[in-house]
Amino acid sequence: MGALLALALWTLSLLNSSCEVVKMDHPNFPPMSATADEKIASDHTAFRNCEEAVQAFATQGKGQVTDRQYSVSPEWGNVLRAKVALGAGLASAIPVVCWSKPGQDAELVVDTQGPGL
Amino acid sequence: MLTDRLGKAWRAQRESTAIDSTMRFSDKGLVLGAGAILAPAGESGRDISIDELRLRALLTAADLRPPAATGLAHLRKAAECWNRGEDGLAAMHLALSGLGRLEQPEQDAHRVFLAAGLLAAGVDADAIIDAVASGAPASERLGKFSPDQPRVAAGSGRTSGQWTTTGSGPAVGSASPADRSPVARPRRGAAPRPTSPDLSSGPGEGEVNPNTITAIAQPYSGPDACYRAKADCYRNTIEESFSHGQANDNWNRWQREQVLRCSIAETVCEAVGFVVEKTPILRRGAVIYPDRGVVISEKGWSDYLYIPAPARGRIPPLRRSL
Repeated sequence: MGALLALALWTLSLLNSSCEVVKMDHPNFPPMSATADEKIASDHTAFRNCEEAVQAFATQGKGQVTDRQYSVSPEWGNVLRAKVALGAGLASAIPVVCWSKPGQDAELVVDTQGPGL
Repeated sequence: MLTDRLGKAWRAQRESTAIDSTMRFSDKGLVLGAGAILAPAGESGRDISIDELRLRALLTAADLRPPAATGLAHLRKAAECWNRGEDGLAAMHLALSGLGRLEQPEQDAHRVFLAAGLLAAGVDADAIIDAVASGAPASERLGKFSPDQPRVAAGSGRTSGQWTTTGSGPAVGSASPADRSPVARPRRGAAPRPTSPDLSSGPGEGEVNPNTITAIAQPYSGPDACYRAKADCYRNTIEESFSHGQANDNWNRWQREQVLRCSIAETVCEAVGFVVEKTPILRRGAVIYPDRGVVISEKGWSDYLYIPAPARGRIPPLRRSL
């Protein structure tokens, strides 16, 4: 029930972000590039969840993770941005963003809008 | 008895063949379900010929309703594209047809298999369509055909000797399939597709209306959300192309690439769903499609949540700084 409620709330927030111009500056997943309020993280131990999640996605797609960027966001927590080269006719890698807050499981978003072909 | 033979054949087929819940092209032709051939290919695997009556019967068995004319037109175009080696466009037209999506794969595939077997045994395609339309459980109705049934009389204007649902003569097939009223039976369990323009009506067969305005997005939840997102992505690609006026080489190239991106997005979507389910520390995953539709998978959920792209021109692009 809790998961259902959480999903419903997340869905509603996504819908809001899709329909209102003003909300587009705050999409409900982290932007694909780091924002000014994020700090680059040199210690990557807190990113283990995201490391594992991104690696699992890359492994599933028989791809490789490249261009990792670690940052800490006041809004999203630990944010790992990376690219996953999946091959399969793509000339460039697909951007992936994973984020997690302390004590929480990770979330992942993959952007397929712009992979080069 | 034919029913018994088909039952045995089905069990054998299931042991050796996985079910495709959507249509695809193979070297045998256009296939659906447990290897049922909707339209056979020649030796090259490319020269697919469509027998419209056969196609109508099999798709009616699959979807529990007769296929829309525009859907069939898309299938014809898909076959043309496939025959020319344009696999991406062929896949796009398959998706745009909106036909042959097996929502209950095992049962739906079984019906298609039965219908294909009945056609092979000489049962008239119109009789199969009528059997599915008549209201009782479709598999039962399809299984009730037997060689003892009345056959079409010679000189009736239809292929004589084939089994029909009524006595001899043209009773069943006196009207062409195109003249038939659609079967007023909604597909069971099917959720409405509020996000998609109605492809069953339009300016002409097989063409997406360039004036169609994408409906206001509504979310959809289901196991086939990745596929639906891809189909909408294809459709939005076409509309975007139309919105920029006359086709030219650049737009044709962009369209081909975008179609491929839509297809890749579906694969990525399924992969993300799998990874979310199998990776303990990952609770949720999302995929942004090329048309800005988003599909979300949540751990423990068999269904995906699809949030279609907002209507064109309503909002600025989501992606701002890649």
